[in-house]
Amino acid sequence: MSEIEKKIDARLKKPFFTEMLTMAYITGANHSNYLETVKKWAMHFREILQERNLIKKIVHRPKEFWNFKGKKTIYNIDGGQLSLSITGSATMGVRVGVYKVKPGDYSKGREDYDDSSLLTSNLVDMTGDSHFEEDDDYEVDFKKMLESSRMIMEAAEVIKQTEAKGKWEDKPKVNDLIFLHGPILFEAAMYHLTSDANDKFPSFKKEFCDSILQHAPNYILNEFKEWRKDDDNYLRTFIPLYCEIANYLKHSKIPTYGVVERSVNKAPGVVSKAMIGELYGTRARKVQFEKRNFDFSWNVKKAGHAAKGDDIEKVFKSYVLGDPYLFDLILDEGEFIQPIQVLKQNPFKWPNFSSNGYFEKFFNYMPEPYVTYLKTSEFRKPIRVETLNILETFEDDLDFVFHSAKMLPQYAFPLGLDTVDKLAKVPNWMKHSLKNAYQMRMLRALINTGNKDYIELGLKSLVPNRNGFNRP
Amino acid sequence: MSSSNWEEIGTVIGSTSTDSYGFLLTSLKGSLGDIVITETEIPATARGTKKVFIWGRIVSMDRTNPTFPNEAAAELNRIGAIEETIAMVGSEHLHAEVQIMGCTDVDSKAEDIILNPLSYPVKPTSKVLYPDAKIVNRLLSGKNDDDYPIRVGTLINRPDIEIFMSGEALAARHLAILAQTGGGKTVASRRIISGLASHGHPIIIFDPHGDYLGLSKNIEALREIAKNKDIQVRLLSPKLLATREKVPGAVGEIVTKLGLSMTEAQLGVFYNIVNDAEFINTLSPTETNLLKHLEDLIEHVSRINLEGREASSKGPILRKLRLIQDRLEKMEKINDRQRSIFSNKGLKFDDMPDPETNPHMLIKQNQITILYLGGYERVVQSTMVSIILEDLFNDRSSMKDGRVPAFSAIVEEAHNFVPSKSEEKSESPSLMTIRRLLTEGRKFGTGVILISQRPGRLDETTLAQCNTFLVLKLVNPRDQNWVRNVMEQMSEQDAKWLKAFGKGQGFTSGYAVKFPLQIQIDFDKDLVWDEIGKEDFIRQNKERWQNGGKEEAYEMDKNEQKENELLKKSKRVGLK
Repeated sequence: MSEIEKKIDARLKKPFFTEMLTMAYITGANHSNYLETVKKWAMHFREILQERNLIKKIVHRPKEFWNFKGKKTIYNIDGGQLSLSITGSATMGVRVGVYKVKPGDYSKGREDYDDSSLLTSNLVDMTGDSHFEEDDDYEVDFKKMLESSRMIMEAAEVIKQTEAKGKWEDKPKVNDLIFLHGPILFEAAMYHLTSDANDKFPSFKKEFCDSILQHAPNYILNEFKEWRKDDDNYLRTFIPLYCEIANYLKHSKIPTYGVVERSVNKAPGVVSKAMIGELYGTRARKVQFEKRNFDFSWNVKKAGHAAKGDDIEKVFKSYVLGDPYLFDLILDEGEFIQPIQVLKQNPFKWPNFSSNGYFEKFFNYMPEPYVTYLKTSEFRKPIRVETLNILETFEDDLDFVFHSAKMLPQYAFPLGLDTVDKLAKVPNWMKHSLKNAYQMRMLRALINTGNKDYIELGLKSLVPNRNGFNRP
Repeated sequence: MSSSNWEEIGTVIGSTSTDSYGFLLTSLKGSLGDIVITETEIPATARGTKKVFIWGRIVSMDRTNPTFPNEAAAELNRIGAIEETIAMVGSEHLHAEVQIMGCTDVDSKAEDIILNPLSYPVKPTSKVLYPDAKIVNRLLSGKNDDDYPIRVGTLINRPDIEIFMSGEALAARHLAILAQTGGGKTVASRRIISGLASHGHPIIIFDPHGDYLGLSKNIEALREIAKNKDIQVRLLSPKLLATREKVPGAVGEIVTKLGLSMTEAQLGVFYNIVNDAEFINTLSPTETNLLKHLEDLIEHVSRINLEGREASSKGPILRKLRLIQDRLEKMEKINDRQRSIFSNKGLKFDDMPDPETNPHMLIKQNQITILYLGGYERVVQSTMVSIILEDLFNDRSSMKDGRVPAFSAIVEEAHNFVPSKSEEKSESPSLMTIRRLLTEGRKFGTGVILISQRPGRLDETTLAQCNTFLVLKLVNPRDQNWVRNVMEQMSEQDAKWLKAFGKGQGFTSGYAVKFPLQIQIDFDKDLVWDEIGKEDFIRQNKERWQNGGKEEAYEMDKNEQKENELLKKSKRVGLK
């Protein structure tokens, strides 16, 4: 038995594979030989990828690696939300933090922190000839707006830092690095469908838009301004703003990556799909690439017919074998796969294309990220690294991600992003005191009514779920 | 009083009370023991409020770097310096815990500030300020010229804040200096001695190890430090003294306490003999040396005719008295020998005057009297201390004209004189004497300073009478707990610091100081006499070997060989 086979056997005994087995069982398929089959597929794909030189290896060499002498600046960006665990309460604010550090610099300027925060109430444009009208039947869809603003703010922070419009005067250089905690690009969708106008997003305030788009000239918005000259309300909604930011990231000369610690186990995963698409030339990938005018591919010899690729996708689906699980088996510690362009945006989830063809135009302008999985520890699932501007320094940058993650041998996630995560997080004490104040007011109001039922209901809503109060 | 010039060093966070609060300290802006101020509005009357400055002392500090997880340390060990990596160095949190000392009105004048108890908790989010030395000195230093202040040192980590003890309080009340060996006891006591001496206050020191003999050698330095050119240091060689009226009591005490137990019958006979007026009259009325009296007693017993059953006790009594005489003579010889070593180094010892008839020779304005007790067994030392202090106290409490001036008695190795163990208590006549001085000393001006390295072995009732404490480094957990039990003003955090104190650093509280504070005691290096306590046995051996020791050893070896051969021959010719 080869070394990697032994490792795969060991990995299959990890708790999360047992969970997966249960999930696969629930799907109803016959999986009596589940683990054996999964192992074979993993070994098969490892062989195919290795034959085509698509698996790269990083050697762990901390002493030699950490030798930057302060000549490289790393920007680590993460966002946090202030929300209360109270029924019916919306997120109150968003905060994005940046931790800037120069490894090997011993001066006071070695490290710094900057953040931007925004209150929910300052997001929505309620004035003038807005995209929506306020009447009795319609409420501003705050949830949709917050979800989208969080995505926008994190990505827009890259623009702010790249254009040196934040705390620091120096612009990042081409050998610097920008890391985002989370995907470099989310799948744009309606997120929340409480309103009947599902083709509509609420407009952001102009000040908010100005604050996030600090570059000039804009990549695509100018063109759209010409197109709908008199009304920029549409341009101040989520899709145009996000599309503009994505294009900025695509054209940036500064290596910028999104690093994801926990990928969703969607089977087959987007990377698996892209991998199968490239190796077997599946029709779905071909059509999408042609339609959206993408030309990036691995350019390697095919591993089989397109139909076989479709069958493999079905197997992965049946075996609930998503990206994080598959690449956990395929990759050895320090290995990553050749980055591959995935197709994240799904036209069916976007707002209604029929709305004057407006969103369809943006869809065609939306770039797609290049993604890889990097196994930072034998004992952890691989992390996902995404970028929109794939540059020559990619492998060196992955080396940096790997060594940063080795700083946290158990968590196996880059220390810089872990640091900014802690810095940007809204402190618990703030959340707790807000929650306590709210609960006190609510209870007092209910007690004042004198109605026993109201009071009991109020108490039930306050006590933790498994408390005796809520038991049958 | 204006806070405008005081530097902001942190912000109050978390729950606060009227006793303590915590704050987030700006990096490197304060340290343990620092005095800090925060401003808060408190209720003044039922309707009104007022602003106060709340004074406190930093009693503990925690330092964390929340962005640096423990697991990163393993990799860091391979890399070397944290700065080489992506880790955040500067995100450290410094949390300081402050013990509140009291509050002063914001608008009170700097010259009249008085600390009042705080009646309302500190406001979280208040700024924490670092007051200037001038105002802290005014409030905390305890310098009051009417009380004859003695500068003991500075606030720990704040050399600009002087700390004083009240000389008046030390003269009438009592102080305990507690520290492990090497913790700075002698440094502290020398500071107090020179402080008292600066006011000319008479001092008597009971010195079992000769730690204070150097004061005599460094008299000029002492005069300089104390700024009192009239100071005299008098060294005394100890003697067991008793006038003939006191002989029965003193001999009885020594006989029973030197561990030479007699049967009940023997004791009865013995006390009959020593208390017999006929015997007492045979003793010289002018002789005070107890050993001489003992010699007379032995002679008296050997001559006396006892009848009946008493006759059988004569032999054992005589034997035991001779044993005691022998032991006392040996102790005296050891003391003589040790004193002669010091005498060779230029120290001059006087014979001890009778404290009953001549207390003025022991206690005199501007005089420091040092009684060197080296060589004597603990029981004898304790008896000597007991006799002397008893006589001095009786003289002071007689209230007669011409009694000795008020004085301070310094008892080194106090655990030997006021021990806690019941078996040691019965062998320590000084225990009850010192206890009496501590309870009644205030009335008669007989202050006591107890110094010990084993506080856990000190009699608790006696120590509880000490109303000022100076506790330096203590590592033994039993000693730490014991000190904490006795000292009400010592917080848990202060107790934790006992083991961490450096040399000369300590905690003081009580009547003679204004506030419980952590202090750094002044080190009077000119009062140190290197000849004492200098362990240079290897050098001494080498010198001896080079200066004739080698030849002497060779000669002895040679003789031994010759003598062994001679002895062999002698045995053969019939020597047994």
